[in-house]
Amino acid sequence: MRLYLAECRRILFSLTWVVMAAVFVIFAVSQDVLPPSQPLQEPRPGGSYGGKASGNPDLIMPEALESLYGEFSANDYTTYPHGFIKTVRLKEKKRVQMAGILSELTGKPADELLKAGTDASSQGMTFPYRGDELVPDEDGEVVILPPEAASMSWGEPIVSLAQGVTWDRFQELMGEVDRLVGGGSSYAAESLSSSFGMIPRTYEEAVADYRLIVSHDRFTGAHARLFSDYMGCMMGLLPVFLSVGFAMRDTREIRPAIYVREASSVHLVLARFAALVTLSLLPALLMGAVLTGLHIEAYGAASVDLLAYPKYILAWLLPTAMAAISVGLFFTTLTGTPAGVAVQLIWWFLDLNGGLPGGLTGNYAGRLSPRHNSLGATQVYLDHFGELVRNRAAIALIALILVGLTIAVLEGKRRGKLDVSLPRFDKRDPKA
Amino acid sequence: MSEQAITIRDLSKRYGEKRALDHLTLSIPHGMFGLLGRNGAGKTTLMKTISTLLQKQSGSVTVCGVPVERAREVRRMIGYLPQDFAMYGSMTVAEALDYLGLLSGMSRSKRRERVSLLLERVNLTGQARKRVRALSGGMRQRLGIAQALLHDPKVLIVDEPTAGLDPEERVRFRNLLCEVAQEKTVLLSTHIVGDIEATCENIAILDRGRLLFGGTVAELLAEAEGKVYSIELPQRELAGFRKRYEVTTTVAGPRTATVRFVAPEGDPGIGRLESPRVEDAYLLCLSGAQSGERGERA
Repeated sequence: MRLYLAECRRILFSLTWVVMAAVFVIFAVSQDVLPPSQPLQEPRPGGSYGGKASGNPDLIMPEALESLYGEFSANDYTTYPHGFIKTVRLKEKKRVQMAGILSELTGKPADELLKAGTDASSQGMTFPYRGDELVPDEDGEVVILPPEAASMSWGEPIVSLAQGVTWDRFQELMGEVDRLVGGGSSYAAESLSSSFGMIPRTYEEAVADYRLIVSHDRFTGAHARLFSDYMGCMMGLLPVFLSVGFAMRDTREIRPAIYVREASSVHLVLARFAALVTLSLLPALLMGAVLTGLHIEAYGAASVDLLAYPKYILAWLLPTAMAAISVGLFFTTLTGTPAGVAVQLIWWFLDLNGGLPGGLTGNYAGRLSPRHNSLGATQVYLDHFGELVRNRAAIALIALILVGLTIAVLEGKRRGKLDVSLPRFDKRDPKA
Repeated sequence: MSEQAITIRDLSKRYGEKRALDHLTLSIPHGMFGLLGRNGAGKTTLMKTISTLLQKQSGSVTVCGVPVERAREVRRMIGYLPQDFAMYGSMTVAEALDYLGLLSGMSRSKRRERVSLLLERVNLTGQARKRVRALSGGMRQRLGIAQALLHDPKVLIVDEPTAGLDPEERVRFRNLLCEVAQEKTVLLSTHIVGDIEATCENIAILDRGRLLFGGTVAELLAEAEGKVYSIELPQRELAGFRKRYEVTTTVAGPRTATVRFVAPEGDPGIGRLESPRVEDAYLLCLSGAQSGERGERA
């Protein structure tokens, strides 16, 4: 405990910690989390209540099919692997495979689809029209449709789903489509509903969600969840700078005086890890206290859960902070370099952008920072709660394993058994 | 408790192909003990091995009867001042000592007592609130000694502590070590002969990981008896003379130079016989080792 407090004192008000805390606060302000946006109010009839992913196959299948056919015809697929937009053009072999999938979905022969696709793509989506083929819509605008659709009225699909295609088979085929285009497409299983199945929320649904916020979240729970979503984006990265900076202070000249001490490597590493985690969460806890005060003012003390922010910060953000810190500690202890920053940067980047296809609400599985970018959506949270708990436990476990490895590495170095370091980074601190 | 504070038997340590310590056997008694040798002789490797910071390849090392494999026990008994000692620059002197005392498992009251006592002993009481980065070299070394003595160890291991210090600081430091050696075992490693001469009764000389000499200073001087001479030479003959003999000091005049040199084979037939100093004996020991190697190669 004493060593933990001493390490906390070392970190608190260090330049790195102050900068980290400032970034957290600035980010929270920029995302309208601090102060919070307008208080939650009971929905009124006749308004707009946002959208939701319906998960309805009858809606998703035709929309997805139409989109796929359009992209197939142009041989131009838009994907978002790791969050960055990418345009994919398939080579002949994969085009044939794609035509095979479309053939099963539409019932049309693959050759025909390929030919139509080739014609469309080779003409660069230009079609010969006479003037009387151009069909103005109800707004007086002229819409140019592909040749085979020129005789249809506005709004009808270009292709239709073949009889007998089940939802399960459809999903399988969409999975193959996603693999053919290299992943990150709207056809991936986790993206189908949010890409093609969005429907407006009804007044009744909005009221039900509001009532759940009141009864389950007591307002602050919903706010704390959104706060944790935003803070998690930063918590997955910033603490690694703190832990690497802290560990790098043990220069070659300082290490012997520390290593020769009686304190065990377990004690030393755990005290430092605990101190780093505490100080990483401190800005969030302080902001949470401020926000709780503001929510009390908005909703009344009796209506809110006073402990919502600490609960969410500890359950939601703590494992993320542990992961970032443990990566920093491990790689710095092992190599004596800031390599941990690069490792964590990669993990954070892949998590932040790679998680986009799963949506920004209720996206918990496999995440370094779980996403719930909605104020409310309590039912979604409750539906995926088990997933969240497993995810947080897994991330915390990974962190603890890295801490264990750090202890082993430190002990090896203290006994001169392990010497992996780069002299370039092992410089004397000129001010030490 | 063993009569010898530190016992080393057939100790070997390699870094790749290089033998840092080569079947070293040495016993270090209580009191002040000097370890002398060139850069690269293996002194720091030996110090670190005794301090449990390096693993030996073979042999045994015990500190007050405890083998170094029992690292935690040994660390309780030793205080170590490493070469190029440094602490976190942003800490004050008092904070740095308190932190290191914490790492030594000391209670708050004990730390308070020892920090205050040691700051006074090393004459740093006035610098207690000064940041470590603002200390001079001499002050930093005194802080180094203070941290090594913090938990009142039985054995103090000090690696090249006076390198880089001005003469006044060096004398002050040596006096401090001598005071400490009255109640503890102090193992002082240095390549500065003057430090050994001023403080140690017992010494060992290392070269390329091997023990060239182990015994008292008097015994070392006795080995050099009859082998140290001085001569006055014209300046122009100096260079040639140096090629033939190991010169220990040269005092240059306007046209001549008085040269002190060692003659390992005995009477060279020139010059005046002189009483050996520790430096002469040390260089004689090293040159004997070198010529022995030349003989082996031949």
